[in-house]
This record gives sequence, C-alpha cells and structure tokens, in this order.
Amino acid sequence: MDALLLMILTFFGYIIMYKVYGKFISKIIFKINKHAKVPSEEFEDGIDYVPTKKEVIFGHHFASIAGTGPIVGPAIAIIWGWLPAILWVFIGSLFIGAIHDFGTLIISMRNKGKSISEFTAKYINPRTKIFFFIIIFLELWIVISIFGLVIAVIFSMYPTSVLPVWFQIPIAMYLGVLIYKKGKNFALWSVIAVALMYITIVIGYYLPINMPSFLGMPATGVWTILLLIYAFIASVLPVTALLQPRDYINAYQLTIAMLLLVLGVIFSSIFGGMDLVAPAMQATPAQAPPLLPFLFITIACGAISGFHSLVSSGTSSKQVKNEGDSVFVGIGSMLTEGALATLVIIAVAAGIGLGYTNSAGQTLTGTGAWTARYASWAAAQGLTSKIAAFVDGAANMISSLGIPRGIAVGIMGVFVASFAGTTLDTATRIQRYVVSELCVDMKINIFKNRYFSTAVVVLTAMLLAFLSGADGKGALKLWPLFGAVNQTLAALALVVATIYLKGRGGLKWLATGIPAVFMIVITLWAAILNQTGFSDQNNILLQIINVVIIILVALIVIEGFVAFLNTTEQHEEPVSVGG
Amino acid sequence: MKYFFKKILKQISEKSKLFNEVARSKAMELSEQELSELEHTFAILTFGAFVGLPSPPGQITLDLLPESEKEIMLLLQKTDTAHEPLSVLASLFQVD
Amino acid sequence: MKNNPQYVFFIGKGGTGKSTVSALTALKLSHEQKILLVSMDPAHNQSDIFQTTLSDKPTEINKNLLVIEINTEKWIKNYLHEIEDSVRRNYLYLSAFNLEKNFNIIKNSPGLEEYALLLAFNKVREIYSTKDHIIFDMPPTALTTRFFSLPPLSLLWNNHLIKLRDEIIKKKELITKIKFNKKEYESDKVLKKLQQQQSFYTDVKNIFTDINTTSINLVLNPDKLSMEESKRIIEKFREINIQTDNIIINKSVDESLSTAIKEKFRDIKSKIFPLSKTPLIGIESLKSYLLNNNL
Repeated sequence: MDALLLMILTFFGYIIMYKVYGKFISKIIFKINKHAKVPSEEFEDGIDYVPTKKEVIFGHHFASIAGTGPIVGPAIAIIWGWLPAILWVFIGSLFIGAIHDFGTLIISMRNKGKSISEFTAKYINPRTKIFFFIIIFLELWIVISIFGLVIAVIFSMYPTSVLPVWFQIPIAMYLGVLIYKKGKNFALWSVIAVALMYITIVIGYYLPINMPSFLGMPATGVWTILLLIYAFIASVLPVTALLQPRDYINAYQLTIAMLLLVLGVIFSSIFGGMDLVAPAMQATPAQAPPLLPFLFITIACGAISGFHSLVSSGTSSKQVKNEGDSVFVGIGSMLTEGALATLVIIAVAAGIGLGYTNSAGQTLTGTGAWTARYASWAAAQGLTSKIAAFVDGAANMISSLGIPRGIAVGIMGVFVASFAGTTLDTATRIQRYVVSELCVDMKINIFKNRYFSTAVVVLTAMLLAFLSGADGKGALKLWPLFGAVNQTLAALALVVATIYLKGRGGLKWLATGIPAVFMIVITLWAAILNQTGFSDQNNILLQIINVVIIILVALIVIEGFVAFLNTTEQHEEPVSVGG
Repeated sequence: MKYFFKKILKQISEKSKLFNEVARSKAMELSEQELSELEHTFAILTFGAFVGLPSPPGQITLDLLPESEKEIMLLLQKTDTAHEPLSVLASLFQVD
Repeated sequence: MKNNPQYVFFIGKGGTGKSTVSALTALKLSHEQKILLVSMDPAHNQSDIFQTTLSDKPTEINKNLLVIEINTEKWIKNYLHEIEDSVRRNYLYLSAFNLEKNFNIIKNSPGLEEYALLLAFNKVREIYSTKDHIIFDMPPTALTTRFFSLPPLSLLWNNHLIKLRDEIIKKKELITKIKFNKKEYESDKVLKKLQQQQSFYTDVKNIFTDINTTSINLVLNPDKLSMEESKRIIEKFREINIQTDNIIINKSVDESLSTAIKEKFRDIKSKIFPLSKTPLIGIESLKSYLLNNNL
C-alpha cells in the first residue's frame, strides 16, 4: 500500500502547493494583474494572437511538454532509489520547474509575446541569442539520436509493439485524408482511429516482429537506421499528411495512458498486493554516476526542463486571455507533468515488483525483479532494461484492471514509442530550421535546400547514435548529455528571469536566482564529471559536445552576472488597464 | 443520490466537450500556423513596397489597397512583434 | 480577317517624326474611313501639327477624323484619388489621415505612368468602338516599351498572387470547418479584385498580341543609330509576343540608303517617307505632302 500512499501524498501535495506556492509565485513574485493588457488582446489578429480558453491552451502546452522525457528520466533515475527520485520530482517541479515555466510565460507575455531567445537579448545582451541556437542544436541532435534508440530498444524488447507502432502511420495518414480532404465527421473518425490503434495493439500481440541482426549490427542498430529514414521522410511531408493527425491522436493516447496508470496504481495496490520493491535510496550503485549531481540531470522533464521555456514563450504567451489564466497554463502543466513522472516512478519502483519474465525465461518478482534491471547502471543492456522496467511495471499495474498482461505491455510500449516517434519527426523539422539559420548566417547557402538540410540532420543523428554503440548501452551514455544540455537551457532561462525580477525591485529575484545558481552548479559539476568519463572511454565526439556545454555554461554565468550587476530597479511597468 | 449522479454526468459531459475542443484545435494548430505564414507572405509580397521590399508593379498594389486593411495591419504589426520562430516551432511541435 | 476597330500604334525614338507620320496616316485614312487619332506622347506635338488646341474631348479635323490628347498626369491623379476614396470608405481601423501623406509620394511611383496610359487606352477603345481605326501616337521608346510590357508583367505577379490567395482561402475553410464545425463561405474581396485585374490584363495582352487587331508601326530615321536602336526595339517586342508590322523610314533623303535599310529589315513590310521640303505644319501642308509623295 506504500506505493498508493506515495501517489496520494504526492498528488495532494501538488494540489495544495499549486494553490499555496502558485499564489506566492504569481501574486507576490511576478505580481500578476488580471486586468493587465496581454498580447492576445493587444495584437489580436486572428492568426498568431488569438485570445483562447485556458483549458485549450493547457491542452496544447501540456501535450507539447509531456512525452518520452518524463518517462525515460525517472525510469533511469530510480537506480538511486525511490526517495531521491520522488523528492527531486516533487520539490524540483514546484520550486524550480513551476517558476521556470511560469516565469518565462509571464515575461514573454509582458514582452509582446516574443520568444525567449529574443527577450534574452533584451535582458542580458544580443550576443546571448546565439546561445539558444547552439543549445537547441545540440539538444535536438541528441534527442533525435536517443529517441531513435529508445524506439529501437522498445522494438527489440517487445516485438509485439512493432506492428502497432508502424501501423500508426497509415492510420494517421488515412485519418488525415478523411478529415482534412474529405471533410468527414471529426469526432466520429477520431474515436475510430484511436480504437483502431488499440485494436492493432491486440493484433501485434499475436504477430510479434523480430528484427535479425544485420551485417554485424545489432537489431537495435537496424531499427535505428530504419527509424531515422522514417524521420527523414516524415519531416519533409506536409504537416496535414502525417504529423498533425498523429499529434492529435497522441493527445488521446496520453490522456488514456495517464488514466490507466492512475487506476492501475489504485487497483494493484488494493487488490494486487503491489509494494515498493526499489530501495529507498542507494547513493552509489555499481558503475553508475554518483547521485549528486546526476539525479538532477537524469530527471529533467518532470522536474525542470529548459525546453519548456521555448514552449512557454511560443504560442501559449500569444494566446493567454489574461495574466490570471497563465497560472493554470504555466504552473498547472508543469505540475501535471510532475504527476506523470510520479506515476512512472511508482511503475519502476513498485509495479515492476509484480513480476515479469526475462529473456532467459525466468519469472522474477519482488525485489529480485527490480535488482535484475537495476543491479548496475549498464545492467541488462543499459537503457533497454530501464525502459523495460517502466513498460513491464506499468503493464503489471494496468493488468490489475482486467486487461491481459500481454496487451497491457503492448499499450505501454506503444505509448512510449508513439511519443518518441512523433518527436523524431518534429525534432528533425525544427533542427532543419536551426541548421539553416546557423548556416545562412555563415553564408553556406546549400542548406536552403530542404532535402539537403534534412539529410544532414538525420545523418548527424545517426552518426551520434552509432558512435555511442547504437544500442541500449549507448543510449544510456547519451542520456546524461541530453540532460545536461536541457538543464543548461533551463539555467539560461532562470538567469534571464532573475535579471527581469531584479529590475522589478526588492529581493523577488531570489525566487529564480537560487534555482538558477543551483542549475548552473549541478550542470557544471555533471559536465566536468562527464568529461573525465568520456575521455576515459576515448569518445571524442561526446567530449567535444561536453566541452561546448561547459563553455556555454561559463559564458552564461559571466554574461548573466554582468547583466545582473548592471540591472537596477526600474519603476514598476505602468500596467495598462485593458479589457 | 440522483442529483449527485446528474452532477457527475454533467461534469463528464463538460470535460469531454472541452477535450473535444482541445482535440479539434490540436488537429489544426499546425495548419493554422501555416496559414499565418501564408497570410504574412501575401502581405509582404503585395505591400512590401511600404516596408522597402521588392514589390509588384505599383498599380497591382494600389488596386488591392482598398480591400486590404487587414494585410496592412498585419504588416505594420509584424514590424513590431516579429518574433523569432524558434519558440513557436517548439510549442507546436511536441519534442520533449 | 481584320477586326474593327483596328488599333494602329506608331512607336519610335523621340525626334524621328512619329507624330507627323501618325497625323499623315490619320489624314490619309480619313478619306474613306472613320478615324480617331490619339496623342499619347507627353510632348503633344499633334496640337502643333494641326494648329489647334487639343484636349481629352475630341476635336473634329474633318468629318471622318477626330483627334484627342491624353493627359497622363490627370489620369494618374484621378486613379489615385479613386483609390484614396475607396480606402477611406473601407478602412475602419487605420486612420485615413496617415494614408493621405503616403499617397502624395505614391504618385511618383515608377510604373504609374504606363498604367495610366493603359487605363486611357482601355477607356478610349470602349468609347470609340465604332471607329474603323484608332491611331495612337506613342511616347518615346522607353515609356512605350513599358506600356506594352505591363500586361504580361502584371499577369506574372497577378497569377502568383492568385495562387497564393487560393491556398490561403482553402486553408481558412479547412480550419473553420474542423475547429468550428461549420462551412463558412466568406467571399474574399481581395481575390475578387485580383481576378478582375487578371481579366483586364489578359484582355489587353490579347489585344496587343493579336495581329488582326493591333498594328505596330516603327518609325525610324535613315541613320545608323536609328537603325541599331530599331533592331533592339523589334527584338524586345518579339520577347513579349508582339509583332512589328511596318517600318517607316522617315525623313528619307538618299533613296539608295533608304532602300538598303529596307533590305536590312526585309522580313518586315516597310515604307519610305521622304524628307519634306517644307515644314509639315497645318492641314494644308500635310495634304500636299500626301499628294506629292503618292502616299
């Protein structure tokens, strides 16, 4: 029952803190004003700036930030025990994540809805704009490699998930044709598509697909190549062909999955005898990086993720109806993501104890089940075992609802793979934009060609994937790097927010300043430790990326500090009273 | 008891209406952004002369002027709020 | 099969004697047919040639011949006024006050002169559709070339803008249908305007390229410079599908030279107009020139 207790405590904690700390951040630190004029009103043009219901914005915002991140991170970090993981998720998401997401949303709203890269130029200096592009470039590069590996790993562990995941493509494409071209009934066909998707999961259970190794490449390597080819093709198609229908179908999947997980925790705790089997804490597991600082790098989304600052200053800030609504959007989404991460923690700390069958055919339960996956960092093929821990753990919990275990495994495996799959497409598109921006500035014009730049994006990602080993172990090497880049971005955003708050007077800036310093310290610390690790392994590419991260963090510290000292209290921005 | 039941049903129908709205708008958010780009492109092509860009023969622009208040406003507004698309791309495209 | 009315354009460098040749042609044809002579040249030599003040209202020279003068500046002014008025009527948010100032600079915008001529051409052919020939005394080459190039050039832009506008409308309809579950058929005023433009330019372009309706006559003088320039003009017109019908070798002195020039342009019909011994001012001297030279 301790798992159930954990979930109830955390959820209640979130609800209470949403009201208490949420009020503190919004009313006292950022002094939101329900009557202040917002960009959606002031620049309303029916195109970019459109006042929108907060629930709709929440839906978009949350779907953009939730995905594979809050699943993979906790699934790895549980190796240090459930207590540190849950404490970091809970405290981090409240005191760092929430104020980070909310802060960037509000600052963007108070700056005509401009993106964070632009108001960073305003609050620090114009040089810092390029930091964003470099950080995003690195982040997307790593994301495309890792998420490709994540899906490959799921395919190799759960051959029953192969068919349904690939089937999503024709289902989504046909749905797109029906809805966009033929104008069929939206609600009806969406539901049919989602139902069809779950049917294919059942079919997949009876038709597992195994990939043989090819030319000395492990099966995961073959899958990775196929997936990156998919990324290429998908990202050059018009958005109505595949991406847009896929994306909104995922929204249904996300809701259903979260619902199933919550119910699963309740039912399996009460009727299934589920208990926490992970240790409360183990600071130095075998071959693993130390808990400090790596816990904070491994769990990014779910606690604090720099990527969210882009989402906050993206469409959300241009659509929020008034500053009051931004609390629900900014803080609400972050805490909901924290809730999702909590559910993942429970799955890998308790759900897994309900047992699974390993590749040798043995059925493991209880603590033994947990240890087999988490005995050491790279145990059981690295990332593979960690993700498997989630899929198995979650499937166990859900099967207590009456769903056959094999199908439940399919549902969860497909869930993770769908989101990762959409990310492959979208990350490639954004990276294409980033690459051509960076190269056009340097007058390398061949990148204007869509196919060329996409090829470059996909090939570099493939390179990174294969240089790290194109398997679960390799992916595990890349994950802390991904975390470090993401947290660097978070640090930058928090520094900007701190400077903004300093300009508003008093000591409000401490609310973001302390988190900023914390993020800077752990990122640097982790990067330095990574550096020694990578140089020991003689991995040059990873070392280079790591060094770039260290330099960026240093530059952010210097530029930010200088700007901070130069910021004096300004008069409160005259709040123009709008409608 | 019946009242309680009704209340729950109402809640569910409200929530599902909301969910439907979110789904519909998610089903269109990328297309809307594309539309936005197209409208901006049209505004720039037609009235770029007002902001110093190469433009159609003068009379094409002038002929369209009486019907194009929205396009002009877009153009003028864009010079003020022109944002760097990185964030918008990030929020439309689910990455993390 | 020649159509009525036929549009006869006299083009050429400044100083070659276009106006005189146009006047002579108009006079000659008016013996048997109803003719309108239109002076499009800002230099407005026709009033000197006919020794009478001309305006945009027709002046009768003889019972078959009317002459009018197009004042380009006036046409530009009227056009801009029309636009300004429409804008003021239609715009709700942007204060028309600001636009006033902007319009003052727009009237100097390149491209308006030739458009004004195009509008004038269109109006003239509408009003005088019962004439047998309408003869146009065109401005110097540069403006004339822009005049004839304007329809195809405008069509390029116009087609592209229509395509873009269509795409926009289709997307808007899709979004309205899915988000709000209704089919909104909002007529797009901008598209309507673009389509009007398209038919206007297509009509005019077709007239200019139709050899049964339009006759282009290039006036040149018998010197090397004139010849070289004329070759270039013919080529330029060919690029926009307009055929040069006749070459008039005007102010000819040396007959053998002129014949040699005729040879050079052998694939185009040509006529030699000898240099007049007396200044061609006034109807009488025009008439005697025609008589003396068997034209």
